[in-house]
Amino acid sequence: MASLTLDKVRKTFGSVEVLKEINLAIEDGEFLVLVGPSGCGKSTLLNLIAGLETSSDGEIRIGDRVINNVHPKDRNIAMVFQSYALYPNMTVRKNITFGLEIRGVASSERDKAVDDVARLLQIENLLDRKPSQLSGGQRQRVAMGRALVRNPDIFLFDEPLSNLDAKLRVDMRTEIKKLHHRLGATIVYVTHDQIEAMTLASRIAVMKGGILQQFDTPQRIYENPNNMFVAGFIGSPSMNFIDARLIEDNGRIAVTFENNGQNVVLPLQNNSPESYRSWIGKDVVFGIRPEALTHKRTGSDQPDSQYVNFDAKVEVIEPTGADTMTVINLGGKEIVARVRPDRATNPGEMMTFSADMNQISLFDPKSELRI
Amino acid sequence: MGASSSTESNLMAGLQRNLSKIVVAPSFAASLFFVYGFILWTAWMAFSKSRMMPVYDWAGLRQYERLWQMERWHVAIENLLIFGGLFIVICLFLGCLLAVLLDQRIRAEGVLRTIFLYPMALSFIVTGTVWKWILNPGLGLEKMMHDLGWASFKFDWLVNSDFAIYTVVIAAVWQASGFVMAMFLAALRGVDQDIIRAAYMDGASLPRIYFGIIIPSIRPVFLSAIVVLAHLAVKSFDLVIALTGGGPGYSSDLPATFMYTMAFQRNQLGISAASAMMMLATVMAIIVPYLYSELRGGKKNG
Ligand SMILES: Nc1ncnc2c1ncn2[C@@H]1O[C@H](COP(=O)(O)OP(=O)(O)O)[C@@H](O)[C@H]1O
Ligand SMILES: [Mg+2]
Repeated sequence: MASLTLDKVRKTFGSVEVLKEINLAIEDGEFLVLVGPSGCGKSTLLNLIAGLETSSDGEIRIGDRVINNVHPKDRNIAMVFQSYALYPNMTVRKNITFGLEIRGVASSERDKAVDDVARLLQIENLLDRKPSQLSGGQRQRVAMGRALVRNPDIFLFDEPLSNLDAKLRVDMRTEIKKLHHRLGATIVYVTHDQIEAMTLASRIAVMKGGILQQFDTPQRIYENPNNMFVAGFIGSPSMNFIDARLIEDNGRIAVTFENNGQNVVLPLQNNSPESYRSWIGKDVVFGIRPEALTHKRTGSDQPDSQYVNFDAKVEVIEPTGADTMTVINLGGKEIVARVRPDRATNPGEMMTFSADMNQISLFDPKSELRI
Repeated sequence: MGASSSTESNLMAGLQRNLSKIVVAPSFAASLFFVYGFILWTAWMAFSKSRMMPVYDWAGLRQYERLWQMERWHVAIENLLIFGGLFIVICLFLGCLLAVLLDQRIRAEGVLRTIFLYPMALSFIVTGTVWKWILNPGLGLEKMMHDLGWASFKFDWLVNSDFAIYTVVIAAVWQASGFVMAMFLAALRGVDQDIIRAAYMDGASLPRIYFGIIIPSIRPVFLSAIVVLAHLAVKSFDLVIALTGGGPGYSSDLPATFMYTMAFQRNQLGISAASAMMMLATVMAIIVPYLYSELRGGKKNG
């Protein structure tokens, strides 16, 4: 009933095209996260859905209803803003009920609605304060309360957590996720933080420069990024890219690149896509995530193992506790490998690494698209 | 040699350290003398028997009694209440309205803002003189309407003793409302745009957004504007002199013009000084609580 569809939506400001043909569709109850670097048009897209901006072209539908020309207040959408946008002259209670009051909801009903929402968000004791007397986290809750109380079809969040400190951000993130489970509401959530996107979303839309790069579930985006931008943007530390060449080696397709005057050859899995064949003899970008690049694993000596070993000199180590990020120089690039702390060595020493060839991506160096 | 050069460098260092104080000292002394010194002197005069020339013998509250017995002083006070009240209210209203309209991100905003703000750059004498021409029945608006064929048009407030004070209001509002607008506009621009968007999504109409949310949240600016306008009203002098000269008769006298007339035309230095002290008290009554609350507010925030 509250599914959301964006059909060839475009937005221009003057002669600048800020959004280029965005196609998105989510089901009722989905949690869509729009993620991308700042300035890529996420807020603009959200404003189009909210009705704060009008689209230059294309169709926006909630359920079967085209809402392009529907006034924001009639779209039954509520929005939580990055700056919270609480009404500074009103108490928390008034802030929450303002929208209901304008819609002509009876005062007894309003009181009940506020109480319900306040209990849900644990802000009962703040109801008579002014926004200026609240902390950032409390303001955030009030802003969410203001959205919740209206019981909208769709919730919009524009970077709601980016003004909070790191600890609170993680807590609120969990809370938003719980809230989503509890309410089953349809949510569109904007962030530039890929961790937020991965943890919250049922589906992620990655954007860059007004163009939708990829729209998929978090796991699929992580494992099969459409292009080098998505691959580098999602995941932390981000994916390593090595300029390499695809060759045929003893009947197996392999990537090869030069390292310290030696050729490193990493044979691909036998179940690699057929499309790789047409790239044999051509330059590719070899992408591998840090966690697929670790210390030497057991069984990695067997000939058809998914793990391929190679030696490299450790440049820098960055212990994080759980893992030690080991920086090595590979193919002229700084590459990060994720090593178990007890297997890490000191900078300057040689070490044997294993690459998990099941978790690799190949990209076209020109178009930067996935092969 | 070492000793003399070290005293010299000490001297230079001392000079360097105190340079700002030394530079400011003359003007500080001058303002101490000419402003605060003369305030004290005026206060003294108000308790003296001075008429044409200052004399220094004590007369107690005699001058204040005489002041409050004068019909003309009562007219001046009444005029101040009419003028000040209307001036402040109309300026706030117009300034606020203009600011809200300009806040709609219209195209010619820069030009309009300058146009509205320009009158503030003029001296009150110029404003008074121009409005004297405009409002003069034989010269300005009325004549223009007659020339255009509207023979029954009548606008003679300038020469009507019941209405002359309102012409002062018109001119003063014309001069100051742009300034008030600028104050409000700055405050409106400081309001988070997301608040407006949030209210819009809540379904509030534009007037409701402004009157229900934005204007209440910039209340401190109202206070500042009222204080600025109130003290402008109390010290209004040149505008009245240029526009009506306090006339017809003394029907548009304000305390400031009253004081001037008493001191320099009627040889009543004592009464004049007493009226000056009354004005000082009025201004203080406005400014001191304001400064107090500002300073205390500053401390609370800091
Ligand atoms: N009202 C506007 N007029 C002109 N350009 C705008 C306007 N709003 C946004 N933009 C431009 O559109 C681009 C996308 O902005 P935005 O959607 O706010 O990005 P994001 O939220 O992803 O950081 C930016 O380059 C910005 O400068
Ligand atoms: Mg944004």
